[in-house]
Amino acid sequence: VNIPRKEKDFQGMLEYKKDDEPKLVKNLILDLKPRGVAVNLIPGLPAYILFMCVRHADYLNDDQKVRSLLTSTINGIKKVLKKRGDDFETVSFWLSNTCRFLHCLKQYSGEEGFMKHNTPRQNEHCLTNFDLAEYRQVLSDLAIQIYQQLVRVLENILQPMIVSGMLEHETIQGVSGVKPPGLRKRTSSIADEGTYTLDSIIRQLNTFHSVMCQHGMDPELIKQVVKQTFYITGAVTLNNLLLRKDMCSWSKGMQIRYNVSQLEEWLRDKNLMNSGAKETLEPLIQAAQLLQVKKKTDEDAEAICSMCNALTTAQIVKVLNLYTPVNEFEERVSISFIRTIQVRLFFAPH
Amino acid sequence: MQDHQHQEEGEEKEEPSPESAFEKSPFQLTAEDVYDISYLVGREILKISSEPQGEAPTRVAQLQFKIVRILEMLEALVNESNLTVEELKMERDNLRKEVEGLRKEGPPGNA
Repeated sequence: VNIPRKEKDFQGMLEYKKDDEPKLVKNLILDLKPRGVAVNLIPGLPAYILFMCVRHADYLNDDQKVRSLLTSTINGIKKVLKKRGDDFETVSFWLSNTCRFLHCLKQYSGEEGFMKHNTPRQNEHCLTNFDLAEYRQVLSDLAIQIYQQLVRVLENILQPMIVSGMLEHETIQGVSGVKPPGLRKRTSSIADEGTYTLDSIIRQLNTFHSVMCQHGMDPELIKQVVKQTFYITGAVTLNNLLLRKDMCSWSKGMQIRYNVSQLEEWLRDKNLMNSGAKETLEPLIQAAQLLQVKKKTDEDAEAICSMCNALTTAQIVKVLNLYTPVNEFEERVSISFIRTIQVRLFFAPH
Repeated sequence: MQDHQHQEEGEEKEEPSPESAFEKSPFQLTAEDVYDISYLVGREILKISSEPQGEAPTRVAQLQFKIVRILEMLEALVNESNLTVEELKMERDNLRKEVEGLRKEGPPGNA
C-alpha cells in the first residue's frame, strides 16, 4: 500500500485512472493482508482510501466512475469473504472496514443529520454531486451479512471447547469426591492432553477481542459480538446440562458457577460489563443454582419457583429429574417434590 | 494472572497482549511483533491527534506516515533476516550431514 504523503494543500482525495480500477481493488481489497504495518497503525485505512477515491470521482462529477468503483468495492469484499470466509481475522477485518466505509459515506454525505460531530475542515470534505443513500443501504446489508458470517466462524471455533471447558474439565479439586468418571469425549479428534479447559475458552475470547480491537471495530459492535459469544457459550452449556445425567449434580453446579464467575471477571477486565453479555448467561446461572439449593420442603419449592425466572418449567423439571447425588450427604429429588414445583408453576407461570 | 502463567509456560503461540512485543530481544522479533508494535504506536498517535490543538494534528499526521515507513522498513528487515538465518541454518545442517556421512562411509587412509 502506498501511503500518500500529507501536505498542506492536499484536499484529501485520491485520483486514479479508470483503467487502473481493477488494480486498485486487487491491491486494496483482494490481496490486502488483514495484518500489516500500515493497517495496524491506522485501523480502517483501506476504507479511508476507498472513500478518498470516491471523493475524487464525485469531485469530477463522473457518475460512471462512482458507480463502477462502488460496485467493484462491494464485489471485491464479497469475493474475499467467499475465499477466506472461514478465517476470523479476515472476516473481522472486512466487517470493520465495511462499517468504516459506511460511516465515511454518512459522515461526508452532506446530510446535516450526519454532520453534528464534524470539524469545519471535515465539512469541506463532503460529497458535492451525488447522493449515495442507496449504496449506503447496500453496504449496510453487506455489513449484516459479514456480521452473520463472523458469528458463524466464531461459533465453529468455540463450539468444540464449550462442553469440555465449561462442564467436563474439573477446575475445583476434590468437590465431587469422585475421580472424574471416564468422561465421554465429544471431540474425538482431540487427544487427552489436548482437552479444552476454561482457560482455553478465555484465551480464545482474548484472541477474538484483541483481533477486533486491532481492526478498529466499533466498540458498540464489539459489545454485540461479545454478547453473541457469551450467548453461544451459555446455550451450549445449558443444553448439555439438560441432556446429560452426569452433569446434574451439586458439584457440577459449583463448577459452573465458578466458571461463570471467571467469564464475568473477563468482562470486567475488558470493560464490557454493559455489553449485555452477562445477562445471556442468566439461564445457565439459575440452572447451576438449582443444582445447589435444597430440594425437599415446600419452602424449598417456593424458593426455586421465584429464583428460576429465566428458566422454563420444562427446563426446571428436567434438571430436577436428572439430578444425581454424588455423595452421601445428598438425596435424590422426590417425585412429590417435582409435582409440587410443577403445580406451582402451572398456576403461577413466570 | 492466568495470562501471565501461560506466557511464562510459553506453550501458546498467541500472546494475549501485544505489549509483550516491546520486551523482546530485537533479534527474536518477528513480523507479527512489528504489527503489534504498529498497532500500539498507532493508538498513541490517535490519542494525540484527537486532542484539538490547532496545528498539532497536521504535524502528528506527518509524523504518523514517517512512522509507517520506519515500521515497513523494520518489517522488511525482520523478514529478510529471519529468512537468511533459516537459509544458512539449512545449509549448515546439510553440510554437517554430508560431513558425517563421509566420515562414516570411508575411513581415511591413516585411521
